[in-house]
Amino acid sequence: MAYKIAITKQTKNVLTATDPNDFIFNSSYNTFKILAEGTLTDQTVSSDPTTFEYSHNQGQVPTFYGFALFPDGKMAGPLSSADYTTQEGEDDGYGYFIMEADSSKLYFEFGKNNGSYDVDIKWYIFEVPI
Amino acid sequence: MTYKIKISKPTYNVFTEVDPDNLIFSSDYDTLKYYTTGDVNLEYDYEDYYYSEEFNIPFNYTMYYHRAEETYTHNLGYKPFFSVYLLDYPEADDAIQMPYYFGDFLSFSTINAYSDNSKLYFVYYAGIEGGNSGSISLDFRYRIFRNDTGL
Repeated sequence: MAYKIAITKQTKNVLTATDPNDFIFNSSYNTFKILAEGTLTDQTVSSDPTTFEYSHNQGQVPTFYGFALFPDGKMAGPLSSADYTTQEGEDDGYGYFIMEADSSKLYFEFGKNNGSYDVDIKWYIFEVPI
Repeated sequence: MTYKIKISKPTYNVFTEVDPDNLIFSSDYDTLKYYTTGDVNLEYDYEDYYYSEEFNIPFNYTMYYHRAEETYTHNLGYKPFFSVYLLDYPEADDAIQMPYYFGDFLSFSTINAYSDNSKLYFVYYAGIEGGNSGSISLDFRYRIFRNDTGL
């Protein structure tokens, strides 16, 4: 006999539900675990581009994601190439934000469209590795 | 004594397994916890451009710059982990994860999502050669998690 742990959402019967979307937790399905997370604060983007690094030392390329907080108070995820948050007239914003990883480090690359600016970065490493 | 809850994948011994890849769940590791999901529509008329500029290289043309924004008020009091999908961008006709960027010889468009402590923002920003007429409609689906980024 196989045992499992299952918790359904409200109004759903835990003994009969089969749709995974009706469960808060079900041991039949892996969970998207956060293996590690951290913050890099007051990082100054002073050249185009500027790259910051974090040594995750996972020994393999992890599943990762992150956010950056820009000086105008807006927090955004990474993008391949774009201008960010505040654009007015000819102002093309702060610069792009790219996030990359290899088997030992996370890389956070920022463009500098205008003057230098400071960012705070939040990064996550998830299970399963890429 | 420290207590924990662990569930291992089939064939792995829950009492000895330490590799998180072999665990379905472990109370040693946080997870993303759902808060809410929903849809937002952004409608924009290109005649409402906010700025234009004349160019004469490689030929005479006018660039029109556009910016439109919609918001969702989450009121969490912090900046949460979030994801946003664009459901039906006209040129893709597929669901794609935000942000999105497109550019060609004379035009570009970016579609971004941002968060602050109270709102989720959906922003369309474009520069289009000769683009001062017509309209665009964008359908977004957002998912916000309770996890506080701490930013």
